Amino acid sequence: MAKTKVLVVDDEEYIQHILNFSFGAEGYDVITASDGEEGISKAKNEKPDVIVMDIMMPRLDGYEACKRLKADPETKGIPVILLTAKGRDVDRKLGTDAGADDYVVKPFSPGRLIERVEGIMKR
Amino acid sequence: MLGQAVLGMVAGGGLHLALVAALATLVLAEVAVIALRRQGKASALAEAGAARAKDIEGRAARRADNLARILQTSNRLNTNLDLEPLLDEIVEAVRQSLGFRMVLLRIFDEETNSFEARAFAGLDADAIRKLSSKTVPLETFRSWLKDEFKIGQSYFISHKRDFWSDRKEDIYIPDLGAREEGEWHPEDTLFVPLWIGDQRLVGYLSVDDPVDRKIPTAEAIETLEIFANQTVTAIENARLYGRLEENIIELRDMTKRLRELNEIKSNFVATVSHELRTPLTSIRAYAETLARDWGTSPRETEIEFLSIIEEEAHRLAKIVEDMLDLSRMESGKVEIKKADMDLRKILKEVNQVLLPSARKKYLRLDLPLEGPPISLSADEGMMKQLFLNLVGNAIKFTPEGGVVTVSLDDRESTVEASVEDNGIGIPPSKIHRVFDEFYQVDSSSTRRFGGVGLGLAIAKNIVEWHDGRIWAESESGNGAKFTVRLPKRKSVAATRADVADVAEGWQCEKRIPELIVDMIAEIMGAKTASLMLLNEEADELFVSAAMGLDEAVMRTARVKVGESISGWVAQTGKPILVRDIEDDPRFQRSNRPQYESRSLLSVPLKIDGKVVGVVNITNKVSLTPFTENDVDILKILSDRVAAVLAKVRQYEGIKTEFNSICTSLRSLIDARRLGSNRRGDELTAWVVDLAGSLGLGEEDVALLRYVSRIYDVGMVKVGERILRKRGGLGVSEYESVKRHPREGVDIVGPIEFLEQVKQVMMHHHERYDGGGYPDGLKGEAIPIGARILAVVDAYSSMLSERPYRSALSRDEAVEELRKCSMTQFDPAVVEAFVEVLGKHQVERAATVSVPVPQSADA
Repeated sequence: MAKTKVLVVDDEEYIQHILNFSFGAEGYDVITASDGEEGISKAKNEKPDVIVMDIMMPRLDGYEACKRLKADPETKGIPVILLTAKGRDVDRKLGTDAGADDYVVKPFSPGRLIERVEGIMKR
Repeated sequence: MLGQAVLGMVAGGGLHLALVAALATLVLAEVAVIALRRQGKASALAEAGAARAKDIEGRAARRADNLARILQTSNRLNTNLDLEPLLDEIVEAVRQSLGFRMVLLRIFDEETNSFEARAFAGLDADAIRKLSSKTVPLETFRSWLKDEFKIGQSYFISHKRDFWSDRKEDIYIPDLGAREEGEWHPEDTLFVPLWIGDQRLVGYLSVDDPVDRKIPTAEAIETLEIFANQTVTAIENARLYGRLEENIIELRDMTKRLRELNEIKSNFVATVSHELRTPLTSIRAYAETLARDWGTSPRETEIEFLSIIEEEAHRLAKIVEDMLDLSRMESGKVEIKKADMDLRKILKEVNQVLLPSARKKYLRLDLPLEGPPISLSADEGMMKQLFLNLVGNAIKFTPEGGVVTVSLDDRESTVEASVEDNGIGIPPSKIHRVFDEFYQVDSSSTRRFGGVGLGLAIAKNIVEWHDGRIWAESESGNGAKFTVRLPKRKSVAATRADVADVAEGWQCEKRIPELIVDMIAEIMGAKTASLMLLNEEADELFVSAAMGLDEAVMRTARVKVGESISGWVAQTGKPILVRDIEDDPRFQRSNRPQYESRSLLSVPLKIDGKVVGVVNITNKVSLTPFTENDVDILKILSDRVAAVLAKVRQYEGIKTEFNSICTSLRSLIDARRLGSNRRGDELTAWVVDLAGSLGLGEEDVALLRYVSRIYDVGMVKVGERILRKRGGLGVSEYESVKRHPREGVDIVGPIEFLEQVKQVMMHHHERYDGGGYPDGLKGEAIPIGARILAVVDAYSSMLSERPYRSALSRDEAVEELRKCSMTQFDPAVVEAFVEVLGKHQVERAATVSVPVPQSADA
């Protein structure tokens, strides 16, 4: 069985680290990126099965990166889960407008996040 | 006569009635003619009567015509709310309908207390220029309004009166060609003052060159007056409307500002919640994973996760602490416990705390840990936080292998500390924002460097509460240097014991008394200064703020009006100078323990002639006694203090006024501490003697005495680096220096109410030949006070050591003055000064020399 590939995009080193550990423990293949631009290029090159992305990042934020990924035929099929500390309704709406498939608010539980990912993968 | 009746009604202001009456006269005249004709009496009487009636008819018709036109014009005027076009319309209307070819309208300006030329009709460019260049002071205008010239409400001054022969420059005399006897003469003048009610003058109309070349009749003048009356309302309306518009603009600005602040606040909340959630996310994620996998993961992983949790918790705590600090500082009650402390000890503690984080980045921390203690009166905890923030910041922004240096400069009345790093630096476009809250050079640095950008904002608050200054110098990529200057003297406010309402803005006015005593002490060179205010009900004085006094004494001191020195001053409204308290017979032994001083000076504070408090200073830093000179300076200074206090009472709750007063006082204090001129008393004496010998009046000399203490205040804005430079100044550096007279005037602006003082400060670097700055004034156009200061300032400067040249001898300096006479200096002033110096020398030689202790900054 091919491992599911997840791309984690977040500028916080510790977040990358814990997600790498948690997803890894569940049998996922994890690649990481530290900002929106790196996230887009890794998505195009590595073709992950799912992307978990933070919003507040330098250079290119999560909303923009998500919009671009969804506009690009190469990557629009990859589900994107936005993971962020911004939890207001207006922020969620911006997420939906950007084309995100799901929205998880920090602080989050890694276990719950993985459940959400699996839910999305089934659809 | 019917005509008179019409005029009477017109004078009463009833234009409509007048019109009706005029028409009625017309009708009656017609009726009279018809009646007479009907009677068919072709008698001489009937003929004469008919002729007269015709005459009345003609005049009435013309009158009605005129009044109708006036009515129409004034209706139109009243709809015009735009002041300038309105004034133009008025003069045009007068020119077209009221029979005068030349019209001038001057409007009263309250600020200058004189009449300014605002609208012209029928005058050529030359005349307009001449009339615009002069304003007519209120008193001068009043002197023209003599009863003998009065006609109705206007004033006609015939050329025959010979009134203008010695006032020719006051008026414009048109070229009207040859005139015959009885005709209007070019030197005739006619003014119509524009009154509101009985008391206030809005302006006046001045007319010339009547169309019919005749001296106007009473009737014509009265028509003019009617019109003038109508215009007054129109002018007032336009003015009020203008003021209304200004208020609306101001309100709009304030609303915009409030919205901006609201947005900043909500951004703040969003930023803060985000900042808090980030470390929380890690803590929770790692903790959950740890708990879930407990026992199954390797030991190293468990340890790693736990230390990450600890680190993030620490980060979270720091953010929360910073925010609480800032929030407390911003909203009010913070305890500042000022006490004598050693700055070096603080630096040692800071070094200890920050060494680990510096080591992690292989940075070298260079702090001046060795050396004598540096004593300062400040809140120890806050000083520690200040340096933790500054040095911590420097560590954060310096790349691995770099150096963070702290240097100390222990001066006379201040301590300067600089924190320098060689990190990424701050771009020049952003450097002035570096102390703003949450300001980050760019958002990615939050991640890289940690923190929410509050450290510097907190540092700035701390420095300002200690009446210090903090500033940053940097170039992109070349590191940054933050310098803090703190005063060493201790000032105390009587309002609360240890808790001072130190928040800027709404409560700034509570700091003003403290700043005032600090400023007084600095300018007068006194060791102690106190500001006492009068409690009218209890008929006693209490201390509002004091510097250098024992706190306990200050808090309990209550002085009854009429008792003790301050009490006497409050009662009599006159200053008291005690040269030496030991020798002065006025004082009994019982008074002395409270003062512990030798020389003291006490001066009343008056608002509108009423005593509201007293200012006391004791013991000059230079240890010489106070003199009459000092009395005069302190009196003038107290006038400004009283003006500030009056403003504070008047503007309760208006933040911007307080802020500008606070800034002004702080800058004055700052500037004096810079102390670039150490010859305070001597310089003042030279200025005073020189002014006296040049024939200036007492009042002007007194003002110059005061100005000699503060004229160079603007130098504080020039920048230490330039002031201390050894070589010559570059072009842009010189430009900075040239700005200082204007900066000086800006600094004293909020507390200086005399234009004269500002003018002298502004122009003390002009050159006699017109090549000076800022305005390039020439010769006599430079205020005499400025010309005097220019010479004395240059002389004093030449006698002092400078970084770029050594001191000159007195003879050499005088030689220089003479050389630059006519070019840089007024030759008359130079010569007078040389004489004054000569006299001083003679006096010095004549007196037995008494060793005077070296003056500090006097």
